[in-house]
Amino acid sequence: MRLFRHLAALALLLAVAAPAFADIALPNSKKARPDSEVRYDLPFSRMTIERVEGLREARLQIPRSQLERMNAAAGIEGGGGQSASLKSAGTIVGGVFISLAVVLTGLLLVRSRRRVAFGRATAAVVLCACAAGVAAVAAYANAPAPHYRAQNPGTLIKAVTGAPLAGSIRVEVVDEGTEIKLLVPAKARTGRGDEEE
Amino acid sequence: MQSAADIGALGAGHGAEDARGGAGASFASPAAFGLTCVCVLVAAAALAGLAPLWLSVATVFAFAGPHNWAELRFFITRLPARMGRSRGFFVLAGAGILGLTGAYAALALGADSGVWGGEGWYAAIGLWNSAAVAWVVGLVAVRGRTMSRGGGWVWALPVGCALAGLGWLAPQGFALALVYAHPLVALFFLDRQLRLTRRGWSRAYRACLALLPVALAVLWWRLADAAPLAEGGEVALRVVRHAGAGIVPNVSTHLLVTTHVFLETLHYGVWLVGVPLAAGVGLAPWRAATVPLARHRRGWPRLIRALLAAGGAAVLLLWLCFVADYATTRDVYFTLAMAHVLAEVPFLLRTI
Repeated sequence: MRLFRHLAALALLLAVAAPAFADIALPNSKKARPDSEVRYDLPFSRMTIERVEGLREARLQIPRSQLERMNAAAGIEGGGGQSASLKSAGTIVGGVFISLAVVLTGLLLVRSRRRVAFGRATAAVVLCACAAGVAAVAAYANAPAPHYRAQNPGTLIKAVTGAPLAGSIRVEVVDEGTEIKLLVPAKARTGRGDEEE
Repeated sequence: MQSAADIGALGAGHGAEDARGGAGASFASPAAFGLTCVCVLVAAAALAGLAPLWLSVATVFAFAGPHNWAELRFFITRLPARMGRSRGFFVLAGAGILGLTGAYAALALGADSGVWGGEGWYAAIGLWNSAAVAWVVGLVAVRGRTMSRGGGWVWALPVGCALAGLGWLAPQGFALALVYAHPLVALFFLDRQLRLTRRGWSRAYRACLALLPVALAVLWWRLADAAPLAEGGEVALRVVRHAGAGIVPNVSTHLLVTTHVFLETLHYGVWLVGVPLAAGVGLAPWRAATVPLARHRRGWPRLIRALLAAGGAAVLLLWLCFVADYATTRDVYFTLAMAHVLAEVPFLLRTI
């Protein structure tokens, strides 16, 4: 009886404290990241800087696939209402099929007259299914990618050797390719459109 | 209905008879065969790792057409002279191959013209995946019901449902899985052929197969940090796209193309050298006389010869198109090549 009272008091305390603490803002964990830090959490892409003869203005080309990834990383939902409903319809259909698979497997197991022999093959299948389940949970929970990959800037470090380079660009989303491209006109143009060396 | 063993023996033609007799089988020892397989595997992995773009362009140009012709010949060889109870199975197989290939080509055309938009494309791919899975389950059911032993085919229903579900959750990933799994099917066909006609080589071959995951693991370990491949030009862009760049995020395109071209090279090697050699038709695969349907008194020798000749002409035409416009031809080829990917399914089921 004494233990029950202690537990009841503890439960009451927790019930009262939980909403109170829920109002407290989380501590600000955003701190400046040092430049030397490797940001494995950011999307990875390849970029080239090309000098293009005859181009009238600088252009940054972002492949649509990269843009979708960047949107997803930034938490921006892609598409309109119709596209979202189509995608969720696909998820529902997929879920129904997988549920059917589980139900049918259960029915077949129940109806099976033979005893199921839990041999090595069954153990391997169960292990694979568990591994796939864990991987799926990790993927859908947006677990960060494994930290095995170093980003190599390649020859991009030669693009800027001294003072920063600056200028206006047009940003273009392209359907083809997977790498980001910065196209730079081979020759500068004056306000009248004449080419300058 | 002919058993798989009978069909295999017939399909191998005279060469198989020689092989079973023992005289023809002794021209290479299992150790020499195994050593050759290991050398091919290591060379393919090394070339794929060092020059993936170059190897992809070269192998698809040289071997894509001929290997389709070799597969056509192999499948013709495995067609029974009398369909008997298998008629329904082959009708369903043919209808599925034609229908699904046509639908796949329509999807590719639709994607290029931008008719559907992103989400319409997503739904269309999901539908195609479900149709393909339903076709395979249908084939398993028809095949299972015509076989006397067991009712194990019913397990295809839950497996099919699970695959269809995955096909909806990750439509493009499902299609990409087909691209990467397809070359492995050829390795299974060669294993079955060796078990039928050159049992002596089978153990050496299986030992070599055990090296495949090792080779893949080494490639992935070495190339995990590799810089993405440069996508300069239409051809490089096509190669990278066919390997799944844009579908698999955060994986180096160098690694993807290497894996794809490594498996494709093995696939071409198996169909062009391994299977004809194992079947005993390695020296003259174009000879229709070794095809049971051409030799059988109720067969169709003219049709078989015409088919083989048309296949040869198609190979020449493909080479000419590659020379004229490699990038476009590669796109068209990889779309229509879905037919041979699908054609492997019914023959694979008949070997199990």
